[in-house]
Amino acid sequence: MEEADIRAYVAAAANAQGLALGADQLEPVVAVFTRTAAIAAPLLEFDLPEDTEPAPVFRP
Amino acid sequence: MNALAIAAAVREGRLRAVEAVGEALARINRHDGTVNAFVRHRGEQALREAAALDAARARGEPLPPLAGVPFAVKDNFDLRGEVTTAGSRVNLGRTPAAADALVVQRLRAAGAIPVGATNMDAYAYGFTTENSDFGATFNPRDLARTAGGSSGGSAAAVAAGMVPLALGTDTNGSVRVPAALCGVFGLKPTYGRLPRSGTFAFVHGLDHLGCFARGVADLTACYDAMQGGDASDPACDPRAAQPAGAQLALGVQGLRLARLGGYFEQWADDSGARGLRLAEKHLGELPVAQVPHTELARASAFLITAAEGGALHGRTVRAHYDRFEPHSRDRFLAGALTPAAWYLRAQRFRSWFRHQLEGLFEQFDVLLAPATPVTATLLGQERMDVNGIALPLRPSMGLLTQPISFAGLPVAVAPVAGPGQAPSGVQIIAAPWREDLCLRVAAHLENAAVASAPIAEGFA
Repeated sequence: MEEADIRAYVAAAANAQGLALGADQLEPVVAVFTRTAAIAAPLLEFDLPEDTEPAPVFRP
Repeated sequence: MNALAIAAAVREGRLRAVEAVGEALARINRHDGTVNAFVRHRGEQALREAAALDAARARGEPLPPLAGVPFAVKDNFDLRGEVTTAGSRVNLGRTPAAADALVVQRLRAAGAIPVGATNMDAYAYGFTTENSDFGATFNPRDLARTAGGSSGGSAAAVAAGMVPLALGTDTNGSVRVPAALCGVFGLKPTYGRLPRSGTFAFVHGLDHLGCFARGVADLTACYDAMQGGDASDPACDPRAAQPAGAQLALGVQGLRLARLGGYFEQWADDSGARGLRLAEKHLGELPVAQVPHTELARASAFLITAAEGGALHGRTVRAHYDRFEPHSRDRFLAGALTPAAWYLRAQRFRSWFRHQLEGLFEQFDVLLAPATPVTATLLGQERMDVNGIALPLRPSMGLLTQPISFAGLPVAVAPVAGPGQAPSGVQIIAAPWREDLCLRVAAHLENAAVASAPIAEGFA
């Protein structure tokens, strides 16, 4: 995502969730979201088999 | 005195419970001005409860296994009649807890007595216990440095000898990081082992409870007293307690050990890896096990934490933005905006990653890895350097713990310190539900004097 896209997404998604951010609150959240997007990128590229399901608790 | 020694002395009438609790309260009074491990004490109540225990003994009643043992809880465990702050003043107006957290009830049933609530990163989102509302906790082994977090108050209280046992929570490393940096033993059991009922949730899918002690026998006794499934926590497995205490003497006999390579070498510098190196010197050179795509496990744990933590607490943070912890408020808000597709991919990757680890446990029983990239950093430090790569410190201290809790595996941390050196923690990792193996290896390293957790110098 381009920086401008991230800023637009953060502002819109926050509004949609009732978390509207003031002008001085937006930038630090954009910075965190930018880092999060960078961390997510390789995971989204990974070739994860389609039949892999979430399963949080170990059952023996 | 350690916990089991206190309990034995109380049972045998050599020590009164009020003396044991009074001693803990005196140490807290003496040292907590320096360490800032506690946010609240319950001195009078704790002494009354201790007196009731002494009266029961006087009537000839049998005393339970942890009779008279003072312990501390991180301030995200409910204590009946008190307000659980989870490290934030925005919660000070909440209704006092109607009941103790379930594991606190179990420790009380075993005779242990809570003496206070300890400091933490706000809402457990952090690795340094630098809390803007309650002040930072200072590492008793070096007061210029952080205690680690987010359960830093509990680890510091144990390291400074204020209590022999303390409880913490671990979502991405919040028991293991402070155990390593404060130089105490820590245990994070299998995800789903201990019921979290009556604790303040951060990330439902990753939150674990755990404990700290200065010795493995104490750590195990505390863990054993808390075990047993309960339906009040939907992620808790219904299995009955599987006490590990009787296994400790078996040591490493018959166990196939390995150390984790690749990612786990890359993200530990000389100081972070020192504990493992000294352990290996004693255990003999270990085979190196590789876990594929560990970096994606860390990424996934990061995303699940952001998304679930943000979804659960984002509105509170937004409503109290100006008063909420500046170290984490932007992370909560950004986390609430995580696309569902990213979050679910991380959850699906969790299954894939677990499957890789299951394969590894066919070859090995126990895996060792460093607990932190570096040893304790300075309070206020913003960045750290790991093998030439500069990283933001606060989110990166859990690089080596996050992938393991992501897979839900049980881990004990053994603190190792050479003479005059900062403690360096070793993660001792086993297959799901095999906490007994983690604790056996920790006990072996303790018996060999490789790992140890004496009361910090100047706090004796």
